[in-house]
Amino acid sequence: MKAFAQIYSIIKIEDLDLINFDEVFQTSKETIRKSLNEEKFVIKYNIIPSFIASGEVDPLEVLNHSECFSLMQTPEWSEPMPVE
Amino acid sequence: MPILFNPAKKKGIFMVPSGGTKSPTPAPSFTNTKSLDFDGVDDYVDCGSFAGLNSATALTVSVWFKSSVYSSFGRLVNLEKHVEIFQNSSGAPNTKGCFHYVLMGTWGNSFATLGGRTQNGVSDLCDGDWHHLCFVWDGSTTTAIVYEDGIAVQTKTASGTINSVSDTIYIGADPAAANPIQGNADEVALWNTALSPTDVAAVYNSGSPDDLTSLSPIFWTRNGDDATYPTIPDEVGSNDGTMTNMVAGDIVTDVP
Repeated sequence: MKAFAQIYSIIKIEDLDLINFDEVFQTSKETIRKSLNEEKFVIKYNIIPSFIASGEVDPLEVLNHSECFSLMQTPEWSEPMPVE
Repeated sequence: MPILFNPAKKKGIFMVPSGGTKSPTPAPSFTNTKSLDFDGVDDYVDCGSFAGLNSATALTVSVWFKSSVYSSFGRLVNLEKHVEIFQNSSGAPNTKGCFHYVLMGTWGNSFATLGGRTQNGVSDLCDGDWHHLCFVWDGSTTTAIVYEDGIAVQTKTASGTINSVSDTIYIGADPAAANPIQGNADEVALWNTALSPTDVAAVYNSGSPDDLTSLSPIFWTRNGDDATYPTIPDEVGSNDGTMTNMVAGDIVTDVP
């Protein structure tokens, strides 16, 4: 069984242009998951990216997979899908 | 020199030497060794714009799923504004991993929803085991049926017209990684016909995915088999999927 990424970080949307997508699992800035108010987004990685190591980007939260999955279930990140 | 084509793979051209009397090399038997593992945070597969169900008068969706986690809002298969299969626990915890099965008509408004917390045939769809979900709608009889693990667990009258505008097929989430689901998904297929109960039984195949070629799906991704990261081939058409926010390690050897 595959292990998920070891580290998930929540980043301020203002820092989006500072992300080097070659260092994270996300495909591009167009595919990132944002909070519903679009003030935050998620990145994931196994090796700490240089933009974090250098202090250029300071994550709001650093989580493991389970913690991040739980966070994604909250109303800040998900709204119920309509059903009939 | 005769050339044999294996339609199950869209690949594998076998050249048989001329001048001999040997039997043609048999097509390789169907094997399923891989699935995709979605993290429930932002993993999804984008299979591009699909017109195959525009104004469809019947359809079938088939997918295999495995999880031990209940996603509050998790999209498993989404042909936007046509047909969707998703988990949704709004109002109460979804403690049995139930799925909603939705048919979408004009402007993408739903005209029938099946499933949900009030119904599930399997005791728990998020029990860590693989399960087969199949959603069949026949507009000529206005009948929609949900099959779980080969058993018809819900039948409902469903009268409407499927949306006529092309949209994108997503597996594992909505666009921009919204509403992702956590778990494995395998062998996702669409038909523009209503599979018969016999056909559904053949697809379920007692819990072991089989070659769908003879049932003529109009979209079929094997979710790992035949794949070269990040591309998940459409075995029967041109809607190859792109693994998005995922890595090669998300193709795993965990299969039904």
